[in-house]
Amino acid sequence: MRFLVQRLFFYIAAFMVAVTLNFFIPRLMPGDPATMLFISLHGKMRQDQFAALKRSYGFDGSLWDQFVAYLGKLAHLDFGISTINFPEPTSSLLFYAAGWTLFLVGLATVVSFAMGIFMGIYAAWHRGGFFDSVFTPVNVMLNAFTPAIVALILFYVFCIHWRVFPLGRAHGLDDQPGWTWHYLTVLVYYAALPVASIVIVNFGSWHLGMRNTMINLLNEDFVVLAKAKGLSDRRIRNQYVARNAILPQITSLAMSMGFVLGGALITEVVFNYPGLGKFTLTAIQSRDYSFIQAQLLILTASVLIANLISDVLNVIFDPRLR
Amino acid sequence: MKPTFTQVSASALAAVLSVAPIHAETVLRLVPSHTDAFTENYNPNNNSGPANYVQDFAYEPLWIYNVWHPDQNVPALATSFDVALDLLSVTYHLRPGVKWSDGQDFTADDVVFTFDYAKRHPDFAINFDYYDETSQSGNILRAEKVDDLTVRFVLHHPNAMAPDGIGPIMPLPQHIWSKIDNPNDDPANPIVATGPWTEAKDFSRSSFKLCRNPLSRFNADNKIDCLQFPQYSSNEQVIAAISVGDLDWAGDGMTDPELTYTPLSPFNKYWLPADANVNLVLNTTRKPFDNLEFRKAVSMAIDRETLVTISTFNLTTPSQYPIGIGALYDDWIDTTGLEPFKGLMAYDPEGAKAVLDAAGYVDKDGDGFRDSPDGTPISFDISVPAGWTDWINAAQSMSENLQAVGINAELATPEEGSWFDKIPTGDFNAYMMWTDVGATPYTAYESMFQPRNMQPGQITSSAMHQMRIPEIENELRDISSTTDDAAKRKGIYAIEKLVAEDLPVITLFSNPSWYQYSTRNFTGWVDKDNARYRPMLFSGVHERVLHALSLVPVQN
Amino acid sequence: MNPNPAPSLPDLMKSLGLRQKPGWVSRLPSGLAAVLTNRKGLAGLVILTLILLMGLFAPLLAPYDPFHRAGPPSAPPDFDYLLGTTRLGKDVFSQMLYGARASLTVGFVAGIAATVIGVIVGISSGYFGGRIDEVLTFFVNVVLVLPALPLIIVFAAYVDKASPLVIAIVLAATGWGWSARVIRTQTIALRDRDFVLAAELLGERKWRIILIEIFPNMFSFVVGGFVLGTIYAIIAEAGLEFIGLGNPASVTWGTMLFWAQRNAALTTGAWWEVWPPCIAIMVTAAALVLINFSVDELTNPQLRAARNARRIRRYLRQRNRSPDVF
Repeated sequence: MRFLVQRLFFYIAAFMVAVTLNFFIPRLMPGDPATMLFISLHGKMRQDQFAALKRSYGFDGSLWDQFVAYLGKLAHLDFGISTINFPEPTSSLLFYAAGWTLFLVGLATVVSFAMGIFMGIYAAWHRGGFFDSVFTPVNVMLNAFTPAIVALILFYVFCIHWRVFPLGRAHGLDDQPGWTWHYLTVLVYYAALPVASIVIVNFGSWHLGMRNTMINLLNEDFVVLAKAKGLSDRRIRNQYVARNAILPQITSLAMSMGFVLGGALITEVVFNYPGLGKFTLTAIQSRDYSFIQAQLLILTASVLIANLISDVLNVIFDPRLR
Repeated sequence: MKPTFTQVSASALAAVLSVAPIHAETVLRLVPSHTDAFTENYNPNNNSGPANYVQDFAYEPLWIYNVWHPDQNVPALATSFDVALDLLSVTYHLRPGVKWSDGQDFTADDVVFTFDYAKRHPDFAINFDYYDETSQSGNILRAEKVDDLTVRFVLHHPNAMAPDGIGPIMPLPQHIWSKIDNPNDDPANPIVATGPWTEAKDFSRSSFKLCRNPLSRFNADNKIDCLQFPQYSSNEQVIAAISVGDLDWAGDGMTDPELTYTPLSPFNKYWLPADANVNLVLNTTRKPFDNLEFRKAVSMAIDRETLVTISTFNLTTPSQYPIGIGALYDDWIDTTGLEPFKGLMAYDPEGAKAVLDAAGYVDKDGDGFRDSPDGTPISFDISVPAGWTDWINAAQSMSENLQAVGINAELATPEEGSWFDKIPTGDFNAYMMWTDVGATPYTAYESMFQPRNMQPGQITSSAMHQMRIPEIENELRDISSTTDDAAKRKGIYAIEKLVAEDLPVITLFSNPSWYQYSTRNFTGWVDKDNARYRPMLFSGVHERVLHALSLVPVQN
Repeated sequence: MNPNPAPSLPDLMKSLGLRQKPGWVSRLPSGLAAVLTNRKGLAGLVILTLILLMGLFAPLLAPYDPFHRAGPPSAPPDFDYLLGTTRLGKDVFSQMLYGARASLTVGFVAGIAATVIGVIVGISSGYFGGRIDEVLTFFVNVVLVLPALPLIIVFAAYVDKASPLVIAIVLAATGWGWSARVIRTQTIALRDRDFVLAAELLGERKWRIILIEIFPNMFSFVVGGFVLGTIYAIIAEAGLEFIGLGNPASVTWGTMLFWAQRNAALTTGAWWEVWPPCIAIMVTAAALVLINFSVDELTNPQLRAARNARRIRRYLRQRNRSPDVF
């Protein structure tokens, strides 16, 4: 218990430091929101409109005053106003994008995890066999396939050339959101290619991790004992070895889940998926400080919470770490 | 053609997944601007987004300038205007019988209110050029109601060009906006305007529609029930959407359109007329850029043919004369008077070397590059923002050209923000830069040579060269104080010649204006042979509403 | 009565695929020997060396200047232009060679830096525990959530260009958190092992225990961290340059992809502009992964045994023994 309280204290301290950095780093970037909009229009905005826009954003006071104001607002969970979507509150856009990212990247992470785990179990059980010698290295190499190229190839082949999948978005323009069977199938249909493009480059590391952990366990005493008792292969594999080997993978999964809110930038851009990665890139490019801050804030919180969970899981699984 | 398996399954999937809604209405789908998600904001003077959708289509200006055909301007909320003989006032005659979409009459009160409102909220981008006591800038003193349908704008000093600034302004309904204290924060929802499409419908983060204004005077001829704005955030997505029939009208960047766009669908069409001119801007407050002979040599050393055909993928238009403006103003260029200066635009490395030699720019320290006559080495960067590929190509090509004649110029690609941050302070050597666009070259030259744009700390992108040319300032003043078209033309010609003689900027080429359309659902589009309006889609091209109104739905 | 008399030793070794006489390899240091006898490791080393040499001798090997126009735009591969030319007429083959320099430098600089920091922080944190652990873990947590994208823009603004080196520094600065975490967990697990306790009882100095007792036992994790860190850095660099945050005037595999994408190479059919950098990244990563496999097997006998498991099972089955005891 003392351990947990201490941990918690340091996590909160890390969070406070991160919040501070997340405030100042974006503001150190050159340019400001009005300037970036002006540049992006390549001279289509007149000088007087530019001047008015600059005035309307009006960042008053010194950086320090702004920081104090920011902390004050944050205490009330007020993320401020988005400048690129002026005057929409940052939180409404943030939660909109966060929802889609949770769905897209969360789903992709779970699918990668499941695929990797099953392939890892199979490869470990038939270690040295054909599947293990060929697919273990190949799957891990897929990790190094440039995500952008995977997404673009899927996009050009399936969306433009064959036209079997939609060009992008999370659902069609005419689909009414709701808990209907139709809408759920639409969501899956629209998410299929983006999820595939993430899974292709991600499942290999789970495969390798699971395989190696499992091979380590195969010769442990309890497995030999189970064999000696004459238990079926299936039972030994699934209930004795895999069950134990999956525990460390689950701690890693908890860590990965923390980063889900970072979004899948390139996939979201290619498939026009309304996720946090794309929104954050736009916010960075257009210096939408409040959005960058808010996104970094929830990302920080989720990563730290995930770390805490994985710490706790570690302690549960491995008493030595206490 | 036999359908392949995938095509069959595609249509089967599509049939299962979408119960195709029956559109009784005619919908034009267009993308004036990229966004990640829509917000329910219809504020016409919010230039961060909404202006792209509601200006022109919902909110009408007083007068639509047809930039390509100055003799065919289109009256909008005003039917005519006169400039007083002393050039100290402009009187607009408003269109009778116009109603705001909520049923109230549009009158002179609304116009007067809009002017006063602009003055009261300087941070709200209505952009009236009102006279400001403290800074003594601007020109319009006040707006007066003469009668219900007549408004007079009183000026501080004589200006024949005042209507150019007043005409494009969109009056706001007094009965709505007088209750709004913070116009920048107001989403202006619901829309109360006079244009053809004012009813916002079906809003979602990824799309919304502007539908027919029941009180609009265009309804008899307007065949389009709704404009739909679907959300897109990348060029690739937009091009793909036009190709599969999800979009009708867009203005996105392309490379090799004959390979990447036209083959994707028989309905895919595009036209890329010339837009504003792009110049190489040298900081003439620094050595060696203050030397005319040096600038001449730079201009002659550049291979513009390669810039156009290779670096910018043949999508730009070559500029013929070293006058800072290009093909956009073809009608305004004094081709005979400028003939002697054409040589400065021709690729002539030997000539450039000769000019440099004669002016004393020779290699003194033996490093292979020319030095100033006083011996200081010359070396500078040509700066272009990191993501702008065609400009990077062009700047790289120019740096090679300059190195070939012994000028040590390199390419630098800073991040957009830091690139732009150096402009106001004048802390730069050489930039590639666009020119400002207006109805006539006057706008471009005015912003290029106006001394107030060259104040250190407030240098604007248009006047970065920082060279004051008093003769040009005089000509600009003269143009603004005459209503005589011939005199205006003479003034523009004089400025062109002065620019060619002094070379404050090195003229390169004209950027393309991006314009894609699909003939799948609509015909009657502007094209090369029917160039009645500028076909671009972004806010500020007020002709776009006329373009939309002139489209004809394809009968299925 | 044994129906299958035990075979002679040579036969047994032959059927198990083992060589009788030790080869020259066995005279090498055991670590190196283990990598060399491992087919995967050897393949990885050879590939990586080839790529390194390619990058090192790029000025000699490249037929053209990669930074400048060398031929007609978008020329398909032929004898003059081995991998064709880009939309701007730059030679793709030369670019790929030069790109290896920048990309590998970024990868190795970021990978090594992140690993070194991660190992130092991770071991100190795990071994010393207590207050030191708390403070170091706190830093790890802060680093884990540092935003790389804005950081690169900020850095680039101060040095004027987001050169590959700037990207490497930022990737290293933001990337060591993961390896520090893994190393820390391993150190804690090792700290209580008998041999460490014995060393402590013998009064060994702490840094000696760390260096001699603990560090070698984590070698595979360190190498694994380095390999994954390097791959991550190469891919992350390519990704950052791909979305336009890099310096497009530099020649790296990432900027090659950036230009290919901006020039719509995939749709214009200029496949030779897309695939070379893409495959170069994959092959480099594959080589690193293969080396990682062999190091894993080197330090983990179970994994090494897995290599021969099939042969041994077959042998046991031939001898009518149950393969399950294995």
